[in-house]
Amino acid sequence: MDATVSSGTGGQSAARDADLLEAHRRRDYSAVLDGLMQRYRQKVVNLSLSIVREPALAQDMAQLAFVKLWRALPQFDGRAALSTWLYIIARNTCLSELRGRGKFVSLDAPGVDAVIDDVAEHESIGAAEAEYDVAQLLDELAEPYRRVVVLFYLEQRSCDSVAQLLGIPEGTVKSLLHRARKQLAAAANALDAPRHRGRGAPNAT
Amino acid sequence: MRPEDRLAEIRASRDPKWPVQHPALDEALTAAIHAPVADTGFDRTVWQRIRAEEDLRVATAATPMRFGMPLWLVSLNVAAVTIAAVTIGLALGGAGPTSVAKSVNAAFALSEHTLPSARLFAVVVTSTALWLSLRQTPFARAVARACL
Repeated sequence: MDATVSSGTGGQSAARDADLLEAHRRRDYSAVLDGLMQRYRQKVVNLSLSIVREPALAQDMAQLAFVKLWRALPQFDGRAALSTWLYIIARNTCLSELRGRGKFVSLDAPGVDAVIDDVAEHESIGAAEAEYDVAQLLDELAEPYRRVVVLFYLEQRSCDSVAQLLGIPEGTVKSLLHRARKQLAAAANALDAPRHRGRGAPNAT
Repeated sequence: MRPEDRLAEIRASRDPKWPVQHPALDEALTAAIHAPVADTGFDRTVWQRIRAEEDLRVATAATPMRFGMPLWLVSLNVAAVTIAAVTIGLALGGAGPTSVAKSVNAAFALSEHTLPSARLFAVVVTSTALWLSLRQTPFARAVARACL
């Protein structure tokens, strides 16, 4: 996955984390980690969830990402924003986990449209009481589309935020989101059609 | 994909019509997709994991192990190898029958003048060293297991 983000978002993060960079210069790594956790823990959990799709595992991966960050903090050279660096560590942690489980699908993989993985039902993505079976609809989506859609809703519909978290350009996020929406709408119509036919059947006779 | 198609997609993604066209689907997605909340408990767990990892590292570093053996055993082996090397060196140095006879005579002459306490000390040290070495052999371990 491409790790670059637009300079604008990286610059904003760097400005926001100036105090943490100052703490890093003083080698006050505890302050840096505390600050990063306070500001980004929820984003890292969201990002992890969009990749691993299991809430408990997402929490675990997010924590592991911070532990890895702590180990690597002395080597941080300040070339990227701290948050960008954190997201890269989190993504790699999750993808390594999926690779270990044989469920890895790269955003850049060719023919990714055809991929529908076999991840089972999960608690937080999908609501039984909803009119649509969201879990089923999301299962119909290929991995990159699903990640973008999940993060889009977790990040209050901010494409910029999704781009930062996934380390891809905002245009790519919008493009993926557009295609994902089309597929979701088509899948929803397909799932809905038998239900409507079922409802309409008594009236027709 | 052609650049104009990509541009059209980007424009379409900005289009606020999607939630209007598919309000139920948009609502369902909004309601269904949510992540576990990460609060200060999350931070505490991270610090606990870091401390546990560091404790483990300290404990591993403090264990007096080298080459997979305890330090005292390594020292004993080094001493044994040194003694063996010196013995072989001495033997090779005076390889001829005359020199060996001379060495033996000199050793006997020396032992006659040695104090009994020094001789006893040498015997104790040698026996202890032998005992410590032999008890690490597989045979000694097997005997010890059989006895116990």
